[in-house]
Amino acid sequence: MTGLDFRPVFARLPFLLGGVGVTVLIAGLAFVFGLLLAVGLAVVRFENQGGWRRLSRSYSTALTNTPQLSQIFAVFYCLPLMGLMVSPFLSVVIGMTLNAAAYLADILGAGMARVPPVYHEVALTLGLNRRQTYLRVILPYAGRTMFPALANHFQIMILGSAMASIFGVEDLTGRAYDIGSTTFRILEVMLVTGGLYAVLSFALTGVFALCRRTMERIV
Amino acid sequence: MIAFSHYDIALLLQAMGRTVELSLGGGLLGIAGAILLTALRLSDLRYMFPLRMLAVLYVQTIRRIPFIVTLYIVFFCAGMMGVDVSATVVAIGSIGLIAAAYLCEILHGGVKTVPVEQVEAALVLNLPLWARWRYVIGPQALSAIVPPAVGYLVLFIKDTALASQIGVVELSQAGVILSNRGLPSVQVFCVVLLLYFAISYPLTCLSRLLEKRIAVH
Repeated sequence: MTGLDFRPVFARLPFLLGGVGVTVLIAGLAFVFGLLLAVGLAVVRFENQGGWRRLSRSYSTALTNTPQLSQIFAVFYCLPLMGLMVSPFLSVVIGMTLNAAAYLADILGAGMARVPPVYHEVALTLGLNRRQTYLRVILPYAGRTMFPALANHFQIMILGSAMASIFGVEDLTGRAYDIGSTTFRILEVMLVTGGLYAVLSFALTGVFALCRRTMERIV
Repeated sequence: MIAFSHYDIALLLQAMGRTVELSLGGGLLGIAGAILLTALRLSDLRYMFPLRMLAVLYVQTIRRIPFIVTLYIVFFCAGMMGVDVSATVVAIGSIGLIAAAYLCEILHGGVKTVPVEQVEAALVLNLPLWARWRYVIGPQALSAIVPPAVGYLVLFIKDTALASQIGVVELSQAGVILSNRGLPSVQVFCVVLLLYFAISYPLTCLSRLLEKRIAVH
């Protein structure tokens, strides 16, 4: 294994580092929108006993049992057929959002089931309406108990966002592939990229630990 | 409604077989690797220290690199070293590398759930190494290992879809091929997703069942 040459890669490091921002942006957007959807799904599951609950459950079962890549492919190929011309970036974000919502709804659902019954009673006694009960009592509690699981899923999404490169999005992996095909130093650039992902992930672990500690101090 | 020809169906089934092959091969390789890594991490021999550190570093780092990047690294590494193997073998190898790291975390965590007193008691009784593992640590750790391990294996069946990127024609790639051939995309992707579901869902149910039956709470 001779002839590893990292110089062409380091010469293009700023371009590659810019991809980190795109990666975080994709994962971040999909996480936020996915979380919003997931809140809806989880509340439906909690409140409704009939068909809606089953529908919400089926959504999670269907999307957690199929690959995210195929889901993004489905979005990528099928939205244009419906007359919606979306950019590759947007179809990746939409696909990841739908996927994330399924997993996050399961996580939030588990968190909401752990809210002690007395919380519901207290909210009722205080005369909070249903919206206030959810926004001020149940969701904050569920979010706090489920924080580690949510943070973990965000990390998974950062790794999953590498799939965006397959659709031509210039995220970290996409840019690495670009550099690889112009400099023919694909192994070197992938090694550096792997390192960058690892650094990003370790940094996020640190940030989440800090968030958690701050949260515990405040509340 | 669906205009699949005989050949299209054959392609889909063949591709589904490839997906199962990738999952099984990668899974078995991962289990073997995980046992080795866990043995390294648990060994208390002094001269094993550097190897132990390497194992921890490996487990901690590889889980923070996207599967597709690992796949590219292994693929181009094999090419550079002049190893002439098929893309399927490269994909199985990469899946094995990653699965080993995740499963090692699960194994290691499972073994650590066994109370120290149990191990000490076994030592006091002068049980030999194999008997300690066979009768004391193994049975107790298993209940903390099997449910999450099956859960993880279900997760990475879906990661095998990424093997399409190095030229393995597996289920998701078959969908793209059929779609590019001009078959109706909506139907094609519905069928692909359904086939994945058919592989994954029974295992999800199994994992849930195991969780209920033997998991420690």
